[in-house]
Order: sequence, then C-alpha cells, then structure tokens
Amino acid sequence: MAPASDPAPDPSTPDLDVSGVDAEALEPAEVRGSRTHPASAFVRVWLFVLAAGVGSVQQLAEELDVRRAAIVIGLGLVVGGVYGVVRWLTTRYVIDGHELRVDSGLLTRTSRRAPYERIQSVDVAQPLGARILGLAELRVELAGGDGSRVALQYLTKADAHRLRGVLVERAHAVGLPAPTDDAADDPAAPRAAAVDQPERLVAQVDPGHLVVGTLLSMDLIVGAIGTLVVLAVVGVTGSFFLVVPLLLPFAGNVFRIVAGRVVAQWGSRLTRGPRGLRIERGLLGRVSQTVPVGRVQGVAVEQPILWRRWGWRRLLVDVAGSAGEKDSDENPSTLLPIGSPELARTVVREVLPGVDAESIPVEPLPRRSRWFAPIGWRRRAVGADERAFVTATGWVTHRIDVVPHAKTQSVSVSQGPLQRRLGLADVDVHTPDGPVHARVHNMDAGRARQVAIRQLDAARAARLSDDGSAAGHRVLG
Amino acid sequence: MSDVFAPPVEHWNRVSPALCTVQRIVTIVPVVALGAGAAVLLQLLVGWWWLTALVVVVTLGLVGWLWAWAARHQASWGYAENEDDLYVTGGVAWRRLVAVPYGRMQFVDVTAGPIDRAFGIAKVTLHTASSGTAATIPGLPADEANRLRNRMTELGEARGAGL
Repeated sequence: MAPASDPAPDPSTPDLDVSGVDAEALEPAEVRGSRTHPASAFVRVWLFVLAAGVGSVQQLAEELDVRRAAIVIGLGLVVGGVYGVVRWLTTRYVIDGHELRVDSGLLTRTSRRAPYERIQSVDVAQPLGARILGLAELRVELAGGDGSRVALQYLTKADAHRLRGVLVERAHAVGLPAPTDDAADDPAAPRAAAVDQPERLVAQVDPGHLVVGTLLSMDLIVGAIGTLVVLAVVGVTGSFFLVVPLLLPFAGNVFRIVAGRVVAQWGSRLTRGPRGLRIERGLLGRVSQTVPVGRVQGVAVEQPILWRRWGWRRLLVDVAGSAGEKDSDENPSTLLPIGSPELARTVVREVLPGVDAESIPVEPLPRRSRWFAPIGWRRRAVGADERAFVTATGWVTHRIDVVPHAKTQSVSVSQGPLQRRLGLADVDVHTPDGPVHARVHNMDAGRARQVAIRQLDAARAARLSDDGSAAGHRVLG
Repeated sequence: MSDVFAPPVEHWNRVSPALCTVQRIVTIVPVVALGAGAAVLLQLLVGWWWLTALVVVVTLGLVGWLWAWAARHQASWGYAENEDDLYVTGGVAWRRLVAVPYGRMQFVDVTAGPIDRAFGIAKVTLHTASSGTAATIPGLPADEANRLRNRMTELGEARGAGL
C-alpha cells in the first residue's frame, strides 16, 4: 500500500517524534519494517497437531499403534511448521510517525493499521503456546467497536513491553485517548520518562483465598450438589443413558466457574504504572491489561453470603469503551477477584482517588418499600458524598455500586402504577454499559426527586472542576 | 407531597397534538383490521353469531381504550431545557423523568416514519455513553425537532466533557 494514502493526523509534522523515548533504537525499523520473533512460527504448531489428530480420529480409533500416531503428529508438526515459517516470513510491522502497521499474508496481503490517534489501549498477552516459548502478543485496541484490533504475534516479552510503552507514549502525545490521571498524581514526572518508571505493587491476590472463595460460591456449590445427585441417581437406578443430558449442565457449569474464577484469575497482580492500573492474571496464559484510571466509570463491591465470615470482597469495574458484562481478554470487568476489606479499600482508592466506597453515608428506604422487596428492603440504601454516588443492594450478596459524580451520564426517576399508589419511585444514575448499576428501587417518591436533582448538581460541579484535565479528550468517538 | 414529575423550570414544553392522531392510526388500524378479519372469517366458517358478536365487541372495546390512551400518551410527554441539562418526561402508567447534561450527550438522532412525516412530526433521541439514558421525545413538530437537535449538538460540543 502506498504510504501516500496514510491517514496522517498532522501533515505538517509527519515524522515528528513526540515521544522522546526509544526513537533512535526504532529508527531502522521505521524504514523497512521489522519481523516478529522467529520462534513465532512455532507458537501455533500444536493447533495443527491437534487438527491432524481430530482429522484422523477414526483411523486412530480403529487401530491405535505408535507408528500411526507418530505419522499423524509428524504430519501436524511439518504442516504447522511450514505454515508458521511462511507466515513469519511474510509478516512485517512498521512503526512510523503516525501509525503501527502490520502487513501479513503470502497470497492475500493484509495490512492492518493502527493510527496513533485511534489507539484506545495496548495490552500484552501471553497465550499458553506463546508462554511456553517465552513470547508475548501485543494487542492494540482501536476506537470503533468489535473487531478493531491489531495484533502483533509474537515478540519476546521484553520487546512487547518496550513496544507497548512506545505506542502508549505516542498515542498520548497525539492526545486523543483519555488521559489517565497520572499528570494529576505526579505532576513533577515528565511524561516521556514515565514509561520506564518502576511500577508499584498495589495488590497481590492470595491463591488460597481464590481457591477457598471459589469453593464457597453458591453457584459452584449448587453445581457440585447437582452433579453428585445425578451421579447418585444413575448409580442407584443404573440408567446410564441419563448421564449425558443430566450431568452436562451441572458439570459444565462447575467447569465454567472453576475456569473463569480460578484459572483465569490465578495469581492476579495489580500494579500501578504510569498509565493506570495494570492487571496481570491467568494460570495457563498470562493476560496483562491496563485499566486507565481516568476512564473508570464506576466500581462495584460485592460480598457473597458465604464470604461474609471472613469479610472478603470482590471488585468489579466499568471502564469506558469496553462494553459488556463478561470478562474477556480485552475487557477487564473483574478488578479484584477476592480480597480482604482493607485490600478492597486500597484498590478502590487506587482507581477512584479519594473514594471510600463503604464509608459513604447512606440513607435507608421507607418501610413501605417492603411490599416490593420483603427481605431485601432493609439492605437497600442510597447515598453520596462529595465525590461519588453509591447504592447498596442485595441481601444474599451484599453489593455496593459506586459512581463518581464526574462520570454520571444522566439521571432518571421512574414510577410504575403500584409505586404511585405507595408513593415510591426508582432513581437510576446511568453509567456506560458494564457491571456497575447505580440504581435504587422504591425510594420515597419526593425524596427520589431530591436525590436525582442533587445528583445532577453534584455531577455538574464535578464536571466543571474536572474540565482542566478533561477538556478536549472526548473518547468513544 | 410535591409532584415527582413536576417540571424543573416553569413548565414542560408539550409535544404536538398530531402525535395523538398518529398513535391512533398506528394502533387502531391494525386492531380494526384484525378484528374485522377475524369476525368475517368466524361468521363464514363457524357461523355462531354470538362468537362473531363477541369478537366485534372486544374489538370495539379495544378501539375505545386505545383512543383514550393515545390522548393520555400524547399529553404525558414533556421536555424542558435549563442551563445545563435537558429534561424529558413521559409515560402513562410507567412514568419516567430523565435528565441529560448537555456535556454528556454523544449524539442526537431525529427519526420520522412515513406516517409521522405525513403529519409533520418527528422523534428525537438523545444518546449518552450509557444505554440506560434512553431519552426519547416523540411527536415533535419537524422544525422543533431540528432546532432541538442542532441546539443539543451545539451545546454538547461546547460543554463536552471527557469520559
């Protein structure tokens, strides 16, 4: 593709090096394009071996001997290796004045480009195959929803982190992505030097807590009991044809829970870097994500019933630009899988400076709201301090949702026919889609209106005082 | 008790009465068509006069209810602007009041179906970064819808705050 067609963000200074870091080191690469690490060719070989095995499963099942198995595995290795080498030979990446470009493909050439001004986040991930070879993948998320990702497969871990630093630095220099509040935190530190600053450890999740906490989850216990009951029924009646349809939902659920909460969250480590809070986690593949602190829209503190004895909490987070409730590689919705109250407080302070979620004063709901929530109404409450709006809900899993005033999108009051009869109303403080929902049902109607109006005032004041750092940074374009 | 849905400024701007007519057309026409079709079919195929009569009575009852509902629905909508926020209220049984700060607006949609256009009205929807906002004002006169859209866009740009 001709360089002339590049969407230059600022034609007058096309090659202005604004980062001040590593420019010299990268200069040659900027001219001719660099290759990824040679070992990249072999990261996915196991997929081909697997495919060869699946493809010849019938033959293998008929007669399984060492020779046949060796042929299948060898075939997989050769095809996978050749494919990998060709792919590696044809892949080059370029980092120039305005974009990261990855060109790949032998017959069909693909050119994926990440202009700096569209970069939303840069993550380093280590899928299992890459991890074994000591490699890492660099993932660049762009503004513009699903599928707008450029991945660089694979680099050494150190290179990946260095490159990540450079890209983040340049994206910031172009100025569009939201500022993390580092500037506010540490005005003395020059931006360029920030990349190399050591990261400060904020939290390290105790593996023992993680395992015990997962075992003490209601859904896991239900799944395990279901599995045992099914096994008992099958054992007693001897009707083995029931095994698959009955066992699958329970056992599958147990598997999903263990995979999602133990394997994926294993060794969670939160560090505070210059660009926000870094989360590293995962037992098999390590995933590293950055939560840009300035883009945190809200936090939820959860306390499941079986954890209450130890006071453990789980933290969920809403980050602008990553919609969806589920944890995926690029969307960290679990901030802290499990931790003590003190740890939870520390982490909340880290993402929402000056907010202590659990000590914000709240007011209870009127007694007549019990008609809608006979048990839960005692637990429900709403409150605010000078920084954030909070709601408390849930009598099985205690939950506190926190939205900083500055991040309030809009506020609504609503009332159904039965609520009108009882003089009750709902208040909802809207946040971008994510796990945090700051809404309170069945408040006293007059009070609901006061709370909503007060929230609008608080949000306005917070926006105004925030303006200095936020002006000109509109994300989600 | 003060009214929960009272206007935050002096009064609500009400929407066009044409919304009532449009609502009546889009709800009553299908109901009448369905009811009449069912009545004719039943009379021809089954031939029990009381069953046909029942269908006709139910249809007429529904038409009457929709007729009355459309008027209340139209009357329920209101919007108001103050210096910093746009307020929208609406709903007959389930009422809602939503306040959207100008600085939070991401974009504004104006939509008008064929029947809306025939009566010169349009629907304005305000979007923030949250899908919960759902601030929709139906039945605005087309000129007013455009004015509102332009004003919102302008204010949104002027007050735009980062996420």
